[in-house]
Amino acid sequence: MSAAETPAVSRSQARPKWIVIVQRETTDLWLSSRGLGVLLAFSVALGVLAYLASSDASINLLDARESVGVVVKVAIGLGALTALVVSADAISGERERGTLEALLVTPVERRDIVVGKLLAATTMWVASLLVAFPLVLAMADGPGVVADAAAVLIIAGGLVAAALTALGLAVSSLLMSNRASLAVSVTILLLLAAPSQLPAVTASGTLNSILVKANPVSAGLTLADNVLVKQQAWSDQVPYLVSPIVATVALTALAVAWSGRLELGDAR
Amino acid sequence: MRASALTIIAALLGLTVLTGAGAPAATADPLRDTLTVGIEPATASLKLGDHLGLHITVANHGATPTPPLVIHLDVTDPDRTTSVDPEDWTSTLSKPVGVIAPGGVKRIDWNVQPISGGTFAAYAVALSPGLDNLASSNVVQVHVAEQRALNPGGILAAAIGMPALIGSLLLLQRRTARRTRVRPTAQNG
Repeated sequence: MSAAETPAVSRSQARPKWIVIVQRETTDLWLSSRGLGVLLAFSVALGVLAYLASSDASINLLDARESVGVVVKVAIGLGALTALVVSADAISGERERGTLEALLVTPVERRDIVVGKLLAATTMWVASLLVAFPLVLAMADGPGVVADAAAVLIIAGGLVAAALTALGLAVSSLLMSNRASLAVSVTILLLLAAPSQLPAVTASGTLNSILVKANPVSAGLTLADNVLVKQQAWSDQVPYLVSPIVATVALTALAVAWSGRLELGDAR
Repeated sequence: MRASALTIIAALLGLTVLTGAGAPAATADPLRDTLTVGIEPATASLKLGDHLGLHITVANHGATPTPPLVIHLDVTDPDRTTSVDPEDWTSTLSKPVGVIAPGGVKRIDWNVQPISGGTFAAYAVALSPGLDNLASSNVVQVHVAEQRALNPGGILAAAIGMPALIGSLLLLQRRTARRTRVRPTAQNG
């Protein structure tokens, strides 16, 4: 080791280990075709939807705010799905590919590994946000709609995506098979998203209102609808932010707490 | 003498029927005989997504007030080339107009929005709960032209641009990765 390299090495050693893991995982995600491949599928799906919604809006069949609302809600759902898919693959995938062993023998605490992987998977949502924003900008018919859509994407979408990313990682660290991890994670997302697809007759009632607010995914989607389509005030949306915040904190704590159980296992 | 008496009775009966005297008010005359329902414009041509204002006039030509009336709007495709659900055109298909006094006229405005192209027939009927007859309007011929914008709201650049940009990055990345894999092999060879 030369004298010139010494300060760089000591800087690297001084950095918290989870930052090293975030850098490694983020680089791995975006320099392999995995991240861009998932993002390409997301951008194609959202682009087609935005085009169809704009077609309806241009001939007045859909209100401009309503068309932005549709795209924002789908961006939250699909964006959270992309982050979930990446995080559900984070540990069980490494286990199956046989690369987890190399990671576990490094002098990095398992908690740092989980935190690093969690933050790296969150970059998937950030990238989805960057793809969705130009579409929203092109569709919105005024700065007010743009501001509302951006706030909904960042606040509600960010919380939903963070909660689901933590969920995917917790499932991924528990299950030995990558296929099982992906299947369980996506099934949970579908179950959580189902109440927002119920017909209006079934969706009315006090019990349903409580269930929608208690479910982080449906709460986030309902908030998007309330702000963008129904033009309700942000101050009225607090009940819809509680469950996404609680889910994000609880699932992140769970994923970190389960990091102690991280083991090689039998991936077959 | 008997013949002239019968003639007088018959004349009185005829007069009674003609003037409506002695009949229960409001329900004896069929609506179709005492009401005129008109709908304007007679024809309309519009593009898909445009709104159309329909103006309905209900006039009572009878000698008695009408019963409480309801005006119901209906839309159909007489050629049966398109399936029509009037609820897609407007969320309100019936509007109450109440009682119309003899000689009175009421006007109702309707705003509709066709959701598919084609030629449609729109008409209104006046009816009253409990009555077995109704009065119908003339038919408005509504021609709705399809319209498709290739670049609605300028979305095309963003809708194609984002996937194209990401796809290009993906191709570039794969090419770079392939070159990186090939280089050590070439050096070894």
